[in-house]
Amino acid sequence: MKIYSKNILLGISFLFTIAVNAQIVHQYVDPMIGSEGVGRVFIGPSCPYGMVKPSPDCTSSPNSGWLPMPKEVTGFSQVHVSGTGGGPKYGNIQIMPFSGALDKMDQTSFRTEENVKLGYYETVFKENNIKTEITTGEKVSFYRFTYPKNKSRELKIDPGFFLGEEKIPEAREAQQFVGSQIEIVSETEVRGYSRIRGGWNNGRAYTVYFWAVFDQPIAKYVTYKDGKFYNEKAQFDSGKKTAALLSFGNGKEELKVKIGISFLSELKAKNNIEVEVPHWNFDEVLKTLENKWENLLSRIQLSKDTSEDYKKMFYTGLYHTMIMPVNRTGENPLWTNDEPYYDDFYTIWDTFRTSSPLITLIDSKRKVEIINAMLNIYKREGYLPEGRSGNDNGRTQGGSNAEVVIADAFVKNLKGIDYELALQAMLKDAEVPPGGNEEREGRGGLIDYLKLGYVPYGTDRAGNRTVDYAYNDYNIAIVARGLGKTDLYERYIKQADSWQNLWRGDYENNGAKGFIMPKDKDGKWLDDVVFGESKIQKPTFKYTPVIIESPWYVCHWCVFFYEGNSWEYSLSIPHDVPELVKKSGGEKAFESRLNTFFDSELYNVANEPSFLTPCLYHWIGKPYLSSDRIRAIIKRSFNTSREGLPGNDDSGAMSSWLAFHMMGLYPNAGQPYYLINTPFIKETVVKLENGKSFKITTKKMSDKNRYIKSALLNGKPYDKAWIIHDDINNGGELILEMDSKPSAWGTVILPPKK
Amino acid sequence: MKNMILMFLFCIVYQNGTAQNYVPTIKNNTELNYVCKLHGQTRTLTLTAQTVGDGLTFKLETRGVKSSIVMLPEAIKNGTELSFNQGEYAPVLNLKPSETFFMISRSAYQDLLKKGSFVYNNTTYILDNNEDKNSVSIDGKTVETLHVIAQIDETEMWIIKNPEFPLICKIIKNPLGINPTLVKVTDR
Repeated sequence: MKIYSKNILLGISFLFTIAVNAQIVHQYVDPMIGSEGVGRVFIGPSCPYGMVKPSPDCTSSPNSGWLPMPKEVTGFSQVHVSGTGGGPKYGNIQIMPFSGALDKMDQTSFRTEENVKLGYYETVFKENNIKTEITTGEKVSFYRFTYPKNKSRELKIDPGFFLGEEKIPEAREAQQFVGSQIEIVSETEVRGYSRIRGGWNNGRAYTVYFWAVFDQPIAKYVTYKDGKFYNEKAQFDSGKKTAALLSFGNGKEELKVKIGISFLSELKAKNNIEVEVPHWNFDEVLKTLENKWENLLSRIQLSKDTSEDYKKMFYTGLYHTMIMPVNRTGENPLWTNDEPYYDDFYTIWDTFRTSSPLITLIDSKRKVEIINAMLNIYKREGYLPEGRSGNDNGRTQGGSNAEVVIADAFVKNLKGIDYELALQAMLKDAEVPPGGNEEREGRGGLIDYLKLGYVPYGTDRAGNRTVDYAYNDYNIAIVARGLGKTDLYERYIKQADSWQNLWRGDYENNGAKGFIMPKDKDGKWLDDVVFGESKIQKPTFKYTPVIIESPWYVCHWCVFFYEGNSWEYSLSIPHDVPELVKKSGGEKAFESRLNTFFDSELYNVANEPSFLTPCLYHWIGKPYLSSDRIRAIIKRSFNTSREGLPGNDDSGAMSSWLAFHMMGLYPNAGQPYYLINTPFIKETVVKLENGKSFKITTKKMSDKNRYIKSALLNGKPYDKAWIIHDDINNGGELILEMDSKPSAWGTVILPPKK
Repeated sequence: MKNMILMFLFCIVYQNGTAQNYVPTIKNNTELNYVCKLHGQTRTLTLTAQTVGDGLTFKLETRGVKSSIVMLPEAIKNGTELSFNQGEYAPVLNLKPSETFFMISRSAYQDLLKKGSFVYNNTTYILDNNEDKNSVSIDGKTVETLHVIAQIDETEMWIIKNPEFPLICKIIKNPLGINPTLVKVTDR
């Protein structure tokens, strides 16, 4: 009995230890971080990779729907994206509560307050005191409206609304109305759809079907089409905007609404409600959502003494990483099969560097699903996605970056992917011009690239296309080698040097020598580049390495470098940094170049092309300088405020960059290692899906002691400032002993070479 | 009845008298607000005039760019080309003696009046006599303009009927991709 008692006590204390160590973490997610300023994150409730994302729309202009108070709220729509730039997408099936006569469509209201947390949104309107609460399932959004006592309860359902509406019929990047339909099916049900085309990716029409159910009967209604109200129950699709205004009378104050969404049909939308949320318990839906997030977020645990702010920044970073792409398995209107279907790769150009590797680390089974969905798109549509949204490929910005995602999975040994098929898909990008569809998929300027070894000026975005294609060719080479295809490897590893064909070795700027610069088809370097399409005038502007894209009056889409300048892209050679160092004049010159880049504000914290650059000091044996740069960037540009992200979050790209660096790891996507930097967290435990854990522990770390003095991996001295994925995936512990001054640690064995 | 007819005629005469077309002039500190459509995007641009002697400087402001663009007296008088550089390189951009900015030269304007055409940037612009197209509305006021169409490139421009400062108040079909429209003129 004594032994039993001891065991029971031990058991209790063990359980207690687990409970203490495994903290509940989802409450640290603050969906408002990055919602203002340039972050543009989605602030409403969403399941992980959730198809439905309900949120207020504050006019039709913002990308994520939401804008800060005092901006008015036009309504609440069910589908949104997070962190995007350019023309908005989605904003479909809008609803809006109001009190009063059923005689006007505009029910715009102003907010008096707003309360947002993971999975939950609440606001109260100034004009009518109506409270709106929202939570969501994967495919069903759930609303709880509370009307003031003795006020009538009305609701607008508007499938004619969408984000980014412009008057110009074919405006580039603008969504365009195609059609809508609405029908009052019974006293508690309304169904219909919204069909919209265009948006940022200039995609073909997509249709969002809905089935709305109410917990109380409709007392009165009117339907709407093209500016007029009708007493009929239904308005069929005649290419005009339709809607319904419903009244639920003066009964109890509360009204609950569930909106099932489907990309297949109204009945499928209804079925989504029946399967996912067959009850009327708002809190249960919220709890289910919280549990889904907790399961994912808690896979990375931070030491208990981590500051509240760091916990918020970190877990919100993970949260943002996993709200896109969206899981539309079972909702694919384009073909039928049992394979996973994901949409809103928005865009892989943004996400391949950090979001995709972070999903691999936390949620590798999901990553396998996402890649299989990408391969499925290739099988059915001929090309891998790049900026796919609304069931349509497009737009390409630079490389065929799905290659990086596939190579990253391959080198990290993710199982369950047909890599032979994946290699075929990569080769399609690399060898078959997309035939007039360069803006949608594949590689624009491919014929020239293969013939000349670079994309000449005159093809849109020739500079970053060349640089990106070279890296994508490296990705192909690595997968080919791994699959035993030596000839292919040999060819593509040579092609991976193509960036060197645009390297103008003698060009000097701000004390640095050698830049990626525009060159024409005849091999002539271009200092003055022609713009416009005039048949007579050939105006030029002087191209220099500091010009971001182009002067303001030149087409930003047709320029040499997309969203960046030559200083940035000339440092963006992730597969061959040693050659880059050499071409820049050696280690000393390279260090000076990096210092100029950061100190002269040529570095753009707001965009992805420079994501790896703060780590480049690793390749000259000075990882402590990388850590210094990263620390300064995070302290200056990231925080827990609504403006706490320095650039568009781009489906979690910016957030995942932060999350990796807070752990002290940074992936070089497409390659099997992470660079090690000074963490922001004293102890981080990554619970891997294979059941193992990897712990990163710091000793004596403080603001002063911010340099790594020595390291132990699983108890053995570890002298490299980088670690391969397998070492993490096999579980174990990396202990970093910190000091107040830089040391020789990590300075000798440099990161892997091409 | 007679009185009513007289009243009606009076109203028509009064209407014609008060509906004089508006011709903006450029004075020191005149602010010109343009909306530019370019490459699928929209951006605003402001030019503030600074007159010094016979020269004219436009202080240009648009998102990310601030520059003073200096036109020489001889350019205002006899210029033959529009500047394509638009303030991106320097806080002060001194144009060549042949270059004007957002306006054509007085001599080009006279050519247009006399010959029905003028040549600028090696392009011949032909006067469009279609009266429907010879006015532009700016801030609710009708502005008298000359509508010209470029040969070959087919660019259309509306030039304000002001021989002293023949300002370009609207461009469409510009092959260079930037199509500005003057939306407001404020004298300060």
